[in-house]
Order: sequence, then C-alpha cells, then structure tokens
Amino acid sequence: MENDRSAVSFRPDDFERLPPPSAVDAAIVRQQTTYWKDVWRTFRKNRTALISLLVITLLILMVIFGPMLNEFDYRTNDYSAINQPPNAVHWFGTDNMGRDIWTRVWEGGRISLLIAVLATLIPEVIGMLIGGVSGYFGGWLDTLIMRLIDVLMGIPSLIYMILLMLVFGSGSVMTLIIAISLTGWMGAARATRGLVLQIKARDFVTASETLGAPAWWIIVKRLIPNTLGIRVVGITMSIPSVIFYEAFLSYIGLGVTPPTPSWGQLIKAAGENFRYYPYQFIIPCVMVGITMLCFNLVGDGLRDALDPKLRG
Amino acid sequence: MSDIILDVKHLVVTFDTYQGSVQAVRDVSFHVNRKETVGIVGESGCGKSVTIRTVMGLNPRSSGSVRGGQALFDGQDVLQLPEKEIRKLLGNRMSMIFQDPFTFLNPTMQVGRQITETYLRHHAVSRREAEEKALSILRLISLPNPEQNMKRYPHQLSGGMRQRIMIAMALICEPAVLFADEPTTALDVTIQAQIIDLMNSLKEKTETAIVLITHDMGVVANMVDRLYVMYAGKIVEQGDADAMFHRPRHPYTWGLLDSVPRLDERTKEELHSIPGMPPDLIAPPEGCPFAARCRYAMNLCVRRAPDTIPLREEGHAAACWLCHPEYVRQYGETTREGRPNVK
Amino acid sequence: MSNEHGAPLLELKDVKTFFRVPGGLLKAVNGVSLTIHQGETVGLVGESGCGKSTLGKTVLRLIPPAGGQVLFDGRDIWQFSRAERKAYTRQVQMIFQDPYACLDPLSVIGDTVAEGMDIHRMHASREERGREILRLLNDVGLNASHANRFPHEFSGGQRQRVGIARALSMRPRLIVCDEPISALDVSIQAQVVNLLKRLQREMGLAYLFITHDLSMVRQISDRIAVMYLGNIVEIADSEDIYLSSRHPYTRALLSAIPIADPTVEKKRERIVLSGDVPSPVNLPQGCAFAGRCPQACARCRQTAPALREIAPGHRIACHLAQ
Repeated sequence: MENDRSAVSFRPDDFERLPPPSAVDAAIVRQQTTYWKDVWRTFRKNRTALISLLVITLLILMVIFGPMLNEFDYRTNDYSAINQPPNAVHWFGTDNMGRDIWTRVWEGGRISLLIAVLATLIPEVIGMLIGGVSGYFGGWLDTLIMRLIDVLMGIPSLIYMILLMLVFGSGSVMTLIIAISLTGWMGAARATRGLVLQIKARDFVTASETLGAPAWWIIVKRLIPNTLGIRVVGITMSIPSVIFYEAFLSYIGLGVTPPTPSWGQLIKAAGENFRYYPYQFIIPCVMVGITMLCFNLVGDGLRDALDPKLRG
Repeated sequence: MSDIILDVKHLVVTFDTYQGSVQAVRDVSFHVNRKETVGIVGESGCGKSVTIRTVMGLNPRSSGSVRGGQALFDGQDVLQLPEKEIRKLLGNRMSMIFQDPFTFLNPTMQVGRQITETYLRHHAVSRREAEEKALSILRLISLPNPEQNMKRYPHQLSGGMRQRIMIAMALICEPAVLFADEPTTALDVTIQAQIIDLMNSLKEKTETAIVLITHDMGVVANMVDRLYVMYAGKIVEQGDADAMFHRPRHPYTWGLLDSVPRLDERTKEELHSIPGMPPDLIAPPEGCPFAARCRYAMNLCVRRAPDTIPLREEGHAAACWLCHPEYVRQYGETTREGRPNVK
Repeated sequence: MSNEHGAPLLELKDVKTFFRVPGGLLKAVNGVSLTIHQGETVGLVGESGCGKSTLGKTVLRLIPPAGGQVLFDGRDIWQFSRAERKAYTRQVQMIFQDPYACLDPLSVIGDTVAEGMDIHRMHASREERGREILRLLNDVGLNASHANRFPHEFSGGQRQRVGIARALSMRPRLIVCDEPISALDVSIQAQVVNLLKRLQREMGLAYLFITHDLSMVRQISDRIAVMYLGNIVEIADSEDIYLSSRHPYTRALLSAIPIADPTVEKKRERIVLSGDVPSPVNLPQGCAFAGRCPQACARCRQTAPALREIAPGHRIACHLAQ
C-alpha cells in the first residue's frame, strides 16, 4: 500500500477543480421496480408455487376449450354407449346415460371454477367495503357492524344455505353464488377492518385527510389497496374451500341441478356406481383435489413472496 | 497481553439483492484498544452498523455476505468462529446496546430477571449471587430505586430507564468491548444528556472499551478518544478526537461538523448542508465516493479513489487526494475553513 | 424579527385538548395561546409527550379542542361551514416526521404529489396536471425522472421533499411541520431546513415548526415557543431563546444539546435534568416542571405560574425569573 501511493503518477489536469455539486438530485440509477414486480420475482423462485400456477392456468384453459376438443356435448344421452371405460372415442369414458365424461368434466369444471371465483371475489369486495367503512369511521358504526357480524357468524352457514335455497329455489348457479356470498363477506369484512385499523394510523392517510380527501377517497384509494397485499393470500386460499363447499353442497343435493354438471354433481352421480365404474368417480375427484392443492400452493407461494420480512 | 482488544482488517461485506450486490462495507480496517472509547460516525447506509453487526456475528452468515477480511477479537478471528463459540462471546465478552430498547427487551419478563438471566447464561453462580450482581450493576448505572424497578416490566419504565436497563444487561458480564449503536437517537434531548453522562462515567468506572456508532458528531464530541468517519462503506478519516475535531482534513468530516449547528455563535443565514446524497452502493463510483458532493472535487477525484493517506499526527489519516503529498507540495494544505481556489 | 404588526394569520386562544385514557384525563394541551403571522415561522419545541404534536393536529382540524379557540384569518376553524372547511384544507398543510410512513407505498411519486390537486380537481387537463407535478418536483429539488418511481426507491431526505411538494401543491399559507427533520441524517437535515427557508422566502409561507430539538429550529424560526406538559413555558424571539433564555427548562434543553467541539464541551456548564417527563395524566398541582427543576421552591409546588412578559416579546411562565 505504502509503495503504491508514492508510485502514483498524476496527469497534468488531475488537480483541476470540477464544477460545484448541484442541488438537484440525480436520477436514480437502480432499475425500476414496483411492488408487484418484486413479488413476482420472489414468487418465481418458488418452484412448487410456479408449477401450481401453471397447472391452474392449464385447468382454466381446459375448462374453456376442453369440451371443444371432441364432438360430444354434455347433455346428449347415447344409450348405445353407457358406462364405457376410457377409450379412444370417449377419452374419459361415459356415464350411465352414455354422456361423454371428458366433456362433462370440463363443463363441470367451468361451473365449479366460476362459482369458486365469483363466490370468492363477490363477498371479498363486499366485505372489503364494509370492513373499510367500519374500520375507518370507527365509533358506533364500527361497533354496530362488528356486533352484527358476530351474531351472523354465530349461525352455522348451512342453515342460511338451506334457507336461501328455499327462498330462491335451489339449482341455479346464480343462487349458489349468492348463497355463498351472503355468508362469506363477514370474514372478509373482519379481516379488512383489522388491517384498516392499523393502516389508518399511518401518516399517509393523515396526509390525505389534510389534503381534504373525502372518506370514500381514503377508503377506496388508500386503505383498501394497502390491505390487498395482505388479503390476497387469504383470497387465494379461500378459492379451494369454496370449490370444496360447492362440491359438498351439490353432493347433498343443494347445489346445481342435473343435467348441468359440476364437479360436485359428477362426484355425487358417480358415487352410486363407484364399485363398478370407479373411473367415473375418480376423475372428478382428482380434478377437485388438484385444483384445491394448486390454489393452496399458490397461496403459500404468495404469502412468502408478500412477507416483508423475507423480502430483501 | 496486547493493547489492542479488537482489530478489524480489510473487512468486505456485500449483500446480494436481486438488483445486484450491495457493497455495504468496502475494505474497512479499524481497531479498538482496551478501555478505550472509539466513535464510528457516518450517515445511515454508510455501513457503520453492518460493520459492527458483522463483527458480532449478527448478520446472517448463510448469505455468505462476508467477502474478506478479519476481525481479531483478543487475537482470535471471530469471522471464522463457529456459531456456538460466538454465542459464548456475545453478551459476555462483547455486548451491544441498540437504538430502541423497547424492541430489545422481552415484554413479558421482569427487567431484573432479564438482567440476571444474561449473567447466569455465562456464569455458573446461584440465582441469588446473580441478583446481587444485577443490583450492583444497576447502582453503577444510577438507576433510581433499583430494587423496585427490577421487578417491573419494560412497558412500566420510561424510555430513559429502559435504555439504562439495556446498558445494565450489556455490562453485567463486564465485557471487554461494548458496542453502542445509536444509543441516544431515540431519546429526548434531556434524557440523551443523561445517557451521555452515564456512558462517560462508565468509562472511568469499568474496564470496558466502548465503540459508539452514531450519525451525530455532537454526541461523540465529549466522549470518544478516537474517531472513525465512514462514508459509502469506507473509512474516510480517522484519528484522535483532538485532531478530528480541531484539525479535520477530509471534506466529508468538515461537512458533518458544519451540519451541527453551533449554539454559541450568532446564526448564519443558511445552514451548511452537503448537497446531494450518498452513492448507491450497488454501483459505487470508480473514484472517490464523496466526489459528487464535494466542493473541492478535482478531475482526479472522479478518476481514482484515494488511498488512506497518513497525516502528520500519529494515527490521523484521511482518504482524500487533498491530503496527498504531491497535492500538498503544489498547492499547500487545505483546511476546514477553505482556501484560495486552485486555477 | 417578529412581525407583531397586522392581524395574525393563525391565533390560538387558550386551546385545550384532552384525551380520555384509563386512569384519568390526559391533558395533552392545557391552555395554549399563540399567534403566527403571514410569512413567519414559529418553532414549537418540547420533549415527547409535551403536547406539541397534538397542538399541531388541532390546528389542522384533525383533533377537536376541548376548550379555547383556533382562529384562522380571524375566523374560528371549528365553526366553519362545509365550503370554508374545504378552503381551509387548501390553506393549511402538513409535513410529517416519518418519511417512510408519510407516502403511500403503492402510489408513484407523481400521483402522491398530485393527490391534493386530484381531490380538489385543480387542473383542467392531464397535460396541466403533468406540468404542475414537474413544477412542484423541481421546486423541491427533484426532477422529472422521479415522478414515475415508487417511494421505496427514495432515500429519507428525498421522501421528505416529496412530502413537501405534496403540501405545496395546495398553495397553502401555513404549513404545520411535525418534526420534519428529526428522522433524517444531519447533512440532509440542513438540506431540508434550507429548502423550507427558500420556499418561505419565495411564497411567503408561514410555518408552525414542531420539533424536540432546539438545535435545528434556530435557523428557521423567527420566534420559538417551548412547551412542557401541555403548556408553553417560554416564548420569545429565536435569538432571545438562545442567548438570553430565562426559564430553567429552556436552559436545560439548550445545555443538553451536544456541541461538536470537545474543547467547548468540556468547558461548558451543563444542566442535566434528573428523572423523566412525568405523565400528563393527573398532573400535580403547581408548576408542571417543579418536579425536575433544579431551582424549584415551595411556591412552585403550590401555584402554577402564568405566562407573563419579562421583556418586549419575551414571555415566560416561571415564578423565579425576573
């Protein structure tokens, strides 16, 4: 080191002064990232979650395009080909009325996933708004809403379900979505309210208030978006439980009515002949299993990716 | 027995992030003598806390963040020690106090118990003896009503008292080195004055060497024997307190000193500020890291980073081209008050 | 420096703000009177828990007072009509302490700066909005490339400047600065103070500058009020506070500030106060500072001293000062 220094040779203009530093900050040199880009980067590293996401994408593509891949439709009976095992014509075989199971599985999946997504998102949005209002305003309104939720949550949801089915008439997909939504918003409202209570104490919310922002502005633009990052895990995780719930309701006869298939419907119908034609039962079961597993794994991956402690 | 208790040599620490490697500590060397008080001063992100945490083995080792260098504690390289051996040192021979005592203390445990547990972990004595030891240490740090306060929980104590409890926990094993990371930053001014007084009195009452990490030149002024100034992962100037405060040579040290307002003088119109901000350590500049903010920057400064250049006084050194013998021969010494412009 | 002439922009008359807490009434602000004139900076100094931030929030209409009046341009801000309230939010703005919490992490800087303009629909077109954002960013020493970045990409000092730009977007007349520099590095603190001073010169802003640190307010304040446990104990022109303060608490605060010069430090007479600030719940009788005051006498413990003028513009609440 010492020798290095004495060996330094200087250029003639080395000691010339540079212009004084400027007061305006230079542009940022780091590449631009957003919160979600950052989340995606961490998520991608989790191979299981990534594969699960791919499987879900594939499932969604299949429930849209799967039925178009062969010439059968889901309701036409063909008594010349009943209870056929999987073969070259009927890839997943046929059921006891000769309907093509391949087509029915994807058609059923369409219904099941539609119910799962809508019956997750609709109550989530309702719950978020109610929770946001409750948490932001506080006071008697908050107390009222929270007590109401306590009471409603005390009643088993199956009782609602049966009541609603009686009122609206069971069987249609819409009824099922409404029924699940009417019981599902309460959890979302509670969770959102808890988060809003934390977030509303932060300075950027006060800043919006001092700028004269109306309450809806603060709730919709500041509070709810900041709860989303945390809630998104819960939302993803609740999709599989709704899928299972739908299957369960169909199984006990409260779900969609035949001939409209859903996974729960298919399982129920095949359950009767499970011993003789196990493939009719196993295929939709595997679908439900895979979907639930994948959504859970994606939720897991999201939780890790969103956890601020694990992020660099 | 050598006089140096801690000798850090050419420490390099980087953190891998997805945007690249952050070169948090770039070839830092410093030492601490027994019973000495040393200050490490720098702004947030300059690497001062990372340096200390690395020496204490508190940075996660798995990331392989230490890229080079040694940290000899009593002649033993702590960077090479297995986790278990480090645990034996921590709290015992090396200890640390943090900025925020509230997050450090266990909220569900009486503070007296927390102090005695620390002692019991490293000493085979009875609980009774440990409690007596704790009481004596609480008297040493002049905690009011030590017997009663030992039975309290952290939330029942004020910020100043919690800081004292943390100091007591750090000192109970009579460590050879105490690291204090911004110990007064979170406190009110009057409480800060109490803690500074306390730490000054500890210098005389104990055998412990203190390493004080702070961003405030005012806090260290009355306390330290020697001072290191860090900037962008490097030590830019070092020396005795007297030399550093009265004859500083690095423009960054000048900037830090000038940023602390003088209360005993009439006000100037503008506060002295250092323009700009520290460089991003993902891509540190090739030349001197301070060149972009320096009033005295020359062509040379952006071309090549200066080495640490020893100065006239023993132990005083600065990494600045203004101190290079060749520059001094041509243009004379540059002082904090400034000097005629070069042309 | 104090410009006592003309009607004050903001006038606090015996403002009291209380909170109900378990175990009693927390008197955060206990009868504070204060005026701020157009273009003036009043420093409000005190330790944590003295009520300075609560007072700031009362001025911003975020916390209603339990008593007293807050007058802006001579009108009581708690008697405002809806339209007046809206106009008030544009005239009085705030800058926050924590540069990390004061910006929405999900909004880019440009949107954060423009939030007030969006709420009040102050711009006619997207182009005008963009131009205004640029102008504001330039005003605080940032540039166009920063507008599309997220807060986490900025340093503390830069975030604080974004916060200042957001406040300026409303073209306010008064800005309440709640410890705007205490979370920043020293060299950056000076940058922000100088920026605030420059903006004040250019725009004629008034500041209520709340801080716990007497060392940094000197350069920016025309007058300084020192608060202790909900009361102003001393108020005077800035220089008078530093050079001839009379209240024992102010003097203790001043002597507690470390000076970056070992020679001066060693010679300096230091008043180190013992104990901590007592809780503002169930305050003792008499002077609130008596428990920690090195000069307290029997009278201090019995009757609370009122604020009285001891020199032109210099008021103090202490029995002992002459």
